[in-house]
Amino acid sequence: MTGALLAFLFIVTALLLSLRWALHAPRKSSAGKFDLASLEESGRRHATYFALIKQAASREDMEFLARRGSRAIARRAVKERRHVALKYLTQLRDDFQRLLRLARAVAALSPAVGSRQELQQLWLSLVFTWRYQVIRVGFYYGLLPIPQLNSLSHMVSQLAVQMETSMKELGERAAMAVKMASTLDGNGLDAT
Amino acid sequence: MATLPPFILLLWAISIVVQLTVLFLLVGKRHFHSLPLFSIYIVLNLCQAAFLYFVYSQFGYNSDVARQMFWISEAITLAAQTLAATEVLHRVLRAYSGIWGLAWRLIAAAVFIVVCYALASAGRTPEWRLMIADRGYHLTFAVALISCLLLVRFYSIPVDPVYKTILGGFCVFSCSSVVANTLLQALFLRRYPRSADVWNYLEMLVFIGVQISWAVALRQPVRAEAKPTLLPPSTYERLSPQVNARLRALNDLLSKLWRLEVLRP
Repeated sequence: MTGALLAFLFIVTALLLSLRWALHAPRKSSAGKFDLASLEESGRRHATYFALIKQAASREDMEFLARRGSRAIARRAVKERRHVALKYLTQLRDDFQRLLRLARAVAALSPAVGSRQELQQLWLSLVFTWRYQVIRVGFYYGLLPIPQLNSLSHMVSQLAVQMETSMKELGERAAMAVKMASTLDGNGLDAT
Repeated sequence: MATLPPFILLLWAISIVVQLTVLFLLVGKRHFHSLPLFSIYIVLNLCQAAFLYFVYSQFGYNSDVARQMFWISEAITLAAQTLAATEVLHRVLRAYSGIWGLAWRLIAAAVFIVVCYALASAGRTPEWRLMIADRGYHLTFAVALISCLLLVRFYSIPVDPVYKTILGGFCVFSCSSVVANTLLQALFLRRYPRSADVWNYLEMLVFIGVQISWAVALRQPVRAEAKPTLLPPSTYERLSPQVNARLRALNDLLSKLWRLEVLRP
């Protein structure tokens, strides 16, 4: 019976912590305004900086430094390289979160929402968060070697162009849909 | 009533005063227009207290009749609690019909899972079935409500502080009932002589705390929120798969780093 009591205490604690998190709305979203237009930012997507990251992390540069420069410079370069890789990871996460915000805003403002789409999104964000944290810890503590990024280059440059255009397009479409809905609403028509 | 400990009687009196205050605020601040089922729930709680007072004074606190009457009245107030919480949740989500539809599916899934568990555990120990059913109800209630609140947070839907306090209070009370029921069973099986009193103290103290928080929250009016303009249904159908495809592409990119495929020449 003590086992059952402990199990229920654990469940209740987890529920109360979830409740606390659920009721504690972040300051930013507490206004509940869904500004779809703000999601369509004019800036480049971070994935597009891949070529620069690649250049900064090229093996030739590192070998050259190790050959010609001092050990201190080489160490510093490795440190910087790690720093760049970590920053790049953070920016990838920002791209991901921006897309998620767009998806959530569209879902919240839609009269009907598909469970499968939403579950898929939740699953993708859980997988992304888990991988992101593990890779980040791996890079930070030097447990994972900083990738040379060469074979990634082609794939990412393709993705970068896609992301750049599609994010903009998605944001524009969403913002346009809001405008259209507002106009119809203003004319006394049921937009939904 | 002589068998009821004086401290329980005191808590009972405090609870009635606080509930009357909540009712007064519901009427005085005109909350009952927007929350009729919640107002009925408060009235039913007061009626239950009066009814049980009558039953305990006629048949004694520890009699079988009193126990039966308690469970009958409890079933009614629990049904009212479900309706009241659903009403508040509906008021939060009524402008967001898509998310409300999603919340319903989530509630149904949570209810199905927890009710299956409660039925299975009540079948194992028939002598405790009412207590286990009660615990099962509170667990279902808390899981379903917290799932919906997580959904509300996930989609950044604004919730008025009054509604937040009411929903939070319901959850806290249900969670405490789960613990109190399990504690009662554990203490009783260990032959602790005052197990029923411990159960009563715990339930009543939390109930009073929740009622006080409701009274404090209900002093404020509910802010009128501007109704958001919904998008045409086709927007979601078109955009959502595309966004998911982009999310998957970013995930794939991370996956390459994860597998360290990049290190291969």
